[in-house]
Amino acid sequence: MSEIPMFGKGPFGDAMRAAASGMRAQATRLRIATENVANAATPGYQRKQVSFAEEMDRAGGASTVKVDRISRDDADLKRVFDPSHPAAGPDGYVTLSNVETLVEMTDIREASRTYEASLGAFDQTRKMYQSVIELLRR
Amino acid sequence: MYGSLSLLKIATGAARHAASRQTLIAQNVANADTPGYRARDLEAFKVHGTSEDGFAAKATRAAHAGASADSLLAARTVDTPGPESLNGNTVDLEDQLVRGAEAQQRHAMALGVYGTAIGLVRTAIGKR
Repeated sequence: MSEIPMFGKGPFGDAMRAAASGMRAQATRLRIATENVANAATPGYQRKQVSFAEEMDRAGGASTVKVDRISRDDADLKRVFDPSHPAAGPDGYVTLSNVETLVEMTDIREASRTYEASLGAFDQTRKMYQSVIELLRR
Repeated sequence: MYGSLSLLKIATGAARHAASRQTLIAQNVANADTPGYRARDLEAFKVHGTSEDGFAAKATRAAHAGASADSLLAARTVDTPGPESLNGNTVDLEDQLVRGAEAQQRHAMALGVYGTAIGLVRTAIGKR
């Protein structure tokens, strides 16, 4: 994870770093879910899943979030009888991925909802910071 | 005169309190899907007692003597109760939204008080 040079120390900087880390984590989750959907028909593809962990930010005292690890789901792969498929075995069955498109879609919706919440927190912090600057300008 | 100076201190303390709350809220939202994460918030802002100096902050510890704006910010971080999801996470995004709006309002109010207090000081020294 790269550090974001932004706003230095202080509560607003911490808030913005935390919100940005949330957005980055959710964006990664969104990317992984999209990769899963894209590979739904790839023979032998195991879906990837993301897990998050809390992390203390080194620059400030903020607790940010990071992608802990991206692992493979070892659930059973789908087997479909389709002898005309180029990847079909001698018994006529094709081993496809274990991606459930519905699950991925739900994940995508949830990720984008949390992403928007972090974006909202970021924007709110920015406005508060702006109001301090305006006070100094008077 | 000194009254409005301690008013400045209180306004600064309230603004810092709101800003620190905002930090915690941003952390909570960022960790909305982190397993085992507990939602946190600050205790309510309060000025510790009054003395003969009007609103001067009462030192809660010897290290706080002098009652700077920092000592006004003695609020502790507390876990906010919320519905716990299966992975032990207690962040409720809607709740955080409300808290965020509250922090922003309080911050705006503190800055408003600060601006007015500055105006009082300016009037006192004969500037408009």
